[in-house]
Amino acid sequence: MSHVTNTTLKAGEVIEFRAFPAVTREQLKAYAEASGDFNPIHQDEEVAKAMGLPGIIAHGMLTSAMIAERAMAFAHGGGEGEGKLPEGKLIAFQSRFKSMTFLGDVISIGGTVKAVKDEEIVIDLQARNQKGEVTTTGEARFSLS
Amino acid sequence: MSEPVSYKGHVGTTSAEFRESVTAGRIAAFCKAVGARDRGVAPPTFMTIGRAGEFEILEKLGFPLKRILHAEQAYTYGEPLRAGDELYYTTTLTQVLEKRGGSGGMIFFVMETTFEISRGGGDRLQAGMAKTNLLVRLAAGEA
Repeated sequence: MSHVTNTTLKAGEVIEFRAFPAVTREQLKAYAEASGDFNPIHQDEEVAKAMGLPGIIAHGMLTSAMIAERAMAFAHGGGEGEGKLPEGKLIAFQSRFKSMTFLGDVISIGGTVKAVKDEEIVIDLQARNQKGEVTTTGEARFSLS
Repeated sequence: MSEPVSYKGHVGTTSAEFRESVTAGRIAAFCKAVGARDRGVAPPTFMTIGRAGEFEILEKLGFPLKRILHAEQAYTYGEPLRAGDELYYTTTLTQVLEKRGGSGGMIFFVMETTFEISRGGGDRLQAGMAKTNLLVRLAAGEA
């Protein structure tokens, strides 16, 4: 048997959107402690407003972590994850922050398989809020070699 | 009006080396905070615990943490981080983009961080790189 990509994935395959729990103050506090990012715009309403923001915003990297989790669930499974690339090794991951996430927002993440090559799979993901606005885009690259 | 300050001359500035300990408790707390499953190794964005170099560089340029917004974040990965690893990292300011207008403007600071791990006392392993694009918004009239 030749060593070609042992995946049935095809470019264009849909990665269904899944919602994460609504963003809460407690979550932002827990994320600040876990990540070490204690920027007060994610904790303190007055500071956020003084910085010209409408209110407390979520850490962009919190959404990025959710996108990464969606990518890992799609690739490696676990829980309700698809597990489509159990042998895939994540080699690169990036996020672009388009708009802000506020307390109470419900973020859903899904996307498509962008490219399937011999030894590499690229997936594109989007984080959307409850209004359907794309807050963040993400791309994950998995190596199959 | 005075000429606006340019920060482009600071490209090349490198932070001190910082260290963080990767523990099972920190991985579990991170996974819980973001709603991720704990898969035994640190999740993909866990390297965000290593941003002290970015913050140090911007603080020295006069931009405290509360002024910093995130525009883009990219990682490339080497050895996955595991509980017990010591994570070492250094950050360099690689690019500054200044966009000024009548109502203020924005400055983008692009920084690259290299991550290494020490595991069980052996030679350091390459854990990957982060490329971070951070944004500061300027008020009208602010240099």
